[in-house]
Amino acid sequence: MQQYLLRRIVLLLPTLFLALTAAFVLIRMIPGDAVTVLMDNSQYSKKDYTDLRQQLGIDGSIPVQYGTFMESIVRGDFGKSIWTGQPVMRELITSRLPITLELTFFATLIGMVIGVPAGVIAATKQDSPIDYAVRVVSIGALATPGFWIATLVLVLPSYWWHWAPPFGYKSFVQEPWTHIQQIMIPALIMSLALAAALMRMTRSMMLEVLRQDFIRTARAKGLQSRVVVVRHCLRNALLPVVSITGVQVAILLGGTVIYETIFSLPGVGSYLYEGVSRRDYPVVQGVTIMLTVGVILVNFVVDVSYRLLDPRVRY
Amino acid sequence: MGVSPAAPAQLPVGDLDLAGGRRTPGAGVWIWHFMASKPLGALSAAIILAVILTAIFASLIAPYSYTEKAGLALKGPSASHIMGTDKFGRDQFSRIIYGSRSTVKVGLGAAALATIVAVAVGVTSGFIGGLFDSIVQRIVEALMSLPWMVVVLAVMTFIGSGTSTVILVLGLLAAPTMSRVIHGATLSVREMAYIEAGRAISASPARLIVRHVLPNILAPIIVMGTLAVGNAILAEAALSFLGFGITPPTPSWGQELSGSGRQFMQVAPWLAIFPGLAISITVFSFNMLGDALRDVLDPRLRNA
Repeated sequence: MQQYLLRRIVLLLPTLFLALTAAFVLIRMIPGDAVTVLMDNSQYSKKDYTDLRQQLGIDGSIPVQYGTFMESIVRGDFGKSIWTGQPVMRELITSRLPITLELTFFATLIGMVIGVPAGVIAATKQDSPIDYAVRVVSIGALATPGFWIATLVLVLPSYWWHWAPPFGYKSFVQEPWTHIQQIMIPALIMSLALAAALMRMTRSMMLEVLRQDFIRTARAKGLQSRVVVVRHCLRNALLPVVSITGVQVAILLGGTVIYETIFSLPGVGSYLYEGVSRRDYPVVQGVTIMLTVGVILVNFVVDVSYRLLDPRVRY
Repeated sequence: MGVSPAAPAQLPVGDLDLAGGRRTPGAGVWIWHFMASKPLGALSAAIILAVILTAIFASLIAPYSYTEKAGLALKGPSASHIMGTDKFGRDQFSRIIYGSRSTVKVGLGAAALATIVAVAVGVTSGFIGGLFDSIVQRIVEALMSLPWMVVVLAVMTFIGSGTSTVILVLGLLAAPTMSRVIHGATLSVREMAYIEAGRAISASPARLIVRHVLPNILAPIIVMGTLAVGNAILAEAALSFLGFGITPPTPSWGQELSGSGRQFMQVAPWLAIFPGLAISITVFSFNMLGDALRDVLDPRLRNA
């Protein structure tokens, strides 16, 4: 196990390096650049042009810019926000990240709690009305934009009953009940797409495992149906489900931009939104790097837990 | 490597030879068969066709122009404005009709770009194999781990928005995941006897790819391409919703729902309902069609 962990950690480095390089290339590849766009849209004078380029680390040739970009990542210093003058890294870690982590954690938890059992039930009752319901709901949930559901949640109750979720973010210490509503409503909406994806995956994996010989053996031994389903079948079917959860968490993290903006939660996502709206490049770049690293770490944890969950998986 | 056991997408040597050749049933027969066995898929195809025709003939279908003040502001659905009017008194039905243009353009454009890139990368990487394949696949993995929404927004900040940027970025970001499936398909086709036979008569790699590999992996390409359209539409809607996608005054469904209009939606909820329905129904149709095509063309892909 130790050796495996070590190998996996060593492999983490090239992945991080490649992903960050990809982020750099995608951002700079297409013609036009930060300062030109900024000049078009704001009050900056021509005199500031070179200063600004230097400050943003885009004054040199592409290889030099790449060096500056990588150096800032290694040092953990993403520069200061053009707008507030605050160091991006400190703002992210002290005030933004906790909210986003809380939101993503609960969204993932709710998604799994809904998605996995629904998938199991649908598979054990294949082609029953419950199965059809689960399939239609999941394919529908995947096609419905989460931001639309969120908009409806804000708009319809206020139209019908003049009720709206509490606005103005409060921490758990300040007002626990307000905080719980503020986190749980968006977390529930965010979890829908994840739940739908997990339902589909769990269902199809369960169907596959349920047809295997060892399930027939377990039933032949006279084991209770529930024991067969949960202990024999689910444990084997869950592995791919774990891996899809890793991919989905990446989508959830990206989605926080939408949900934090709609529900005015001051997390990483709304920080990115503010950064993009104000063309605050250090903020945008810092958030991109942080979330990319975050997603890679999540995938790392998923891979390792794979190994822990399934003794058959050998690398 | 951290390759998940679920990932290796399985391989299509479809029984249905779409590329022509052997006794392939005619297109009419095939469509009839598809409609009979997959009614929901056929319905979805009809909806998609309707959306595309709406986009092409928007100016003939829409009763008003999308900028014209067609009536009183914030009025609910009525005979003259079946989906009500917005804060400027513009006819929402007409705006949704015109909005289908951005949806179709971005959805089809991004999916086409993603498919071309994914096929080019997946097929060459899988066909050449060896060290080249390993390196390309590591890069693909790294790209797959990018949080796409974040990267799109970052790109928008650096180079500005606009329809072609949206298509370019969404297409490029969708390509890696797709190329993974196509790569898997190529790997299996590569081992087939007919490829070996082709090599034996010294066919060039380019000829082997174009004449023998591509026709045999057409099924997963079509399925993945269809599903990619739905995803691109959702992504475009989310971007426009945030205000970074299609730039006004060009209408787009996501933009109709955008945050700035929310105080009006609280008194005029139809403004929130119809654009969202338009997005959901269209995406749902592409997903259903993709699923149906997968069942018909390539049953082994079901878990992908």
